[in-house]
Amino acid sequence: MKKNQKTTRFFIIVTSLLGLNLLILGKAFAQTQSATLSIQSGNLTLAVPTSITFPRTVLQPGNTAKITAVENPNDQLQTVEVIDPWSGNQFHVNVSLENLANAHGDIISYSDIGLISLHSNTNNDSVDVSNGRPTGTNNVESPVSYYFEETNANPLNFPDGNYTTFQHDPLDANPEDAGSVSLPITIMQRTVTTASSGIYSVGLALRANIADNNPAGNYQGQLTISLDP
Amino acid sequence: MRYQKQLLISTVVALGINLLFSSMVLGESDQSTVSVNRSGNLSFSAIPNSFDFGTIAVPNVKTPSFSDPTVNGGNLPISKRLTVEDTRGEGGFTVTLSANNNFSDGGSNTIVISNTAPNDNLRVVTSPTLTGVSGTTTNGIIYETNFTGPQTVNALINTNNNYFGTSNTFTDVTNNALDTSVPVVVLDGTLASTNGRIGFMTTGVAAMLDIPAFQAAGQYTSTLTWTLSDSTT
Repeated sequence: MKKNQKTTRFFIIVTSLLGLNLLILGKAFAQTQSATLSIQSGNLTLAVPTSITFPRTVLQPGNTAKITAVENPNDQLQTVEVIDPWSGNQFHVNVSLENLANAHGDIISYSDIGLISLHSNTNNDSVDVSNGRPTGTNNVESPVSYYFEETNANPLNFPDGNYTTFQHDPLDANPEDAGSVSLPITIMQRTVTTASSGIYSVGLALRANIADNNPAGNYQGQLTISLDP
Repeated sequence: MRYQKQLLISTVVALGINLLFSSMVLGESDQSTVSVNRSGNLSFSAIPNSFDFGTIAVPNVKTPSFSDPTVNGGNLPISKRLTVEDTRGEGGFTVTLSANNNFSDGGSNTIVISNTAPNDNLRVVTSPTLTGVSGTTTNGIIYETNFTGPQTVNALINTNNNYFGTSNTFTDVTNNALDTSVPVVVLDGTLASTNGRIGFMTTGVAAMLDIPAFQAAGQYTSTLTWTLSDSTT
């Protein structure tokens, strides 16, 4: 009987240890699963204003006027944007203008209209960038851009010399006709192929010199903004 | 010497029987020291298959991608089931989920996984709207056929919206953004040791991943870890 008691006691101790061991092993189980995603680079896209409207202008005989089309009906600066989803491509954004003509065929020549592009950053970058990656990278430039702090400055006050005037195409035999189109002005460009991404933008303003001999009328012309290689 | 041999033989036999028939051994004993031992198991019967967020173009703005974008108003597939099997009949459990690492393309590009804005990019929800599971649904958990015990598991990131291709389904739930260091508590089935469950408890799981604007192109992967722990008070 005494032997049995000893055996049983040892037997129970082993059981208890074994039970504790099982409990520890069962304390936590972990299983893993994977999560995957594929992202593909995209193509450059261009966003442009739907229209640019010069304000209505009344001229007295002998007077001239400089009128500037800067803002859209929502009172926002007209902007041109290039969206780059890591395309790695070079590009140029070019602007050309058709002679403004009224219903009678009278024109305001594009050579009397100047263009200026505007940026608001203080980083000495001629083009604004948002969501630029790699961070701090801005490899897009504008040859015709000037700093413009929208809240404190008036783009109308930029001197004439800051505006770039549209030029005739030497191949155009009748540049003063309605429908004649100017040579393009480059307002944004990237000339390197370093992979980067972001939204690159500049504001856009046009200034027209109106003479008193321009007949009254509603003048319209087509502004072409193109994204070129 | 003979006595020692008998003792040794008895010990070895006892240990062998204990390993093979631990429950029987426990049943035979009336010693209080063995009451900590539990029969039965607590385990994952199933965890969801890989979350595949598909293929998208580099987005211009932060854009959500979904593990089950086509399930809008229907059931999650059975492959998205999370099932805990508890046959102990004593005590409770918890299930947590965490990310081992940020999404990475294998190079320098990552999508951060964090439970803090603005990097709360990966969110998960549970939902009992699951195809092919029979049982009783209570508060977001399917207690499968033949389950016994208290149906009191708390599904902490459960959604009542079964539109899994919609952001609101995921953003309307709180504390469901995964993190690489802080686990999300998915199920809290804590019980006192005087209580217990026996059977399968199931729910479905879906995920949403916000892709940051202009995230670089590449194949991104991450590994998630489901952890099942005893939680007995």
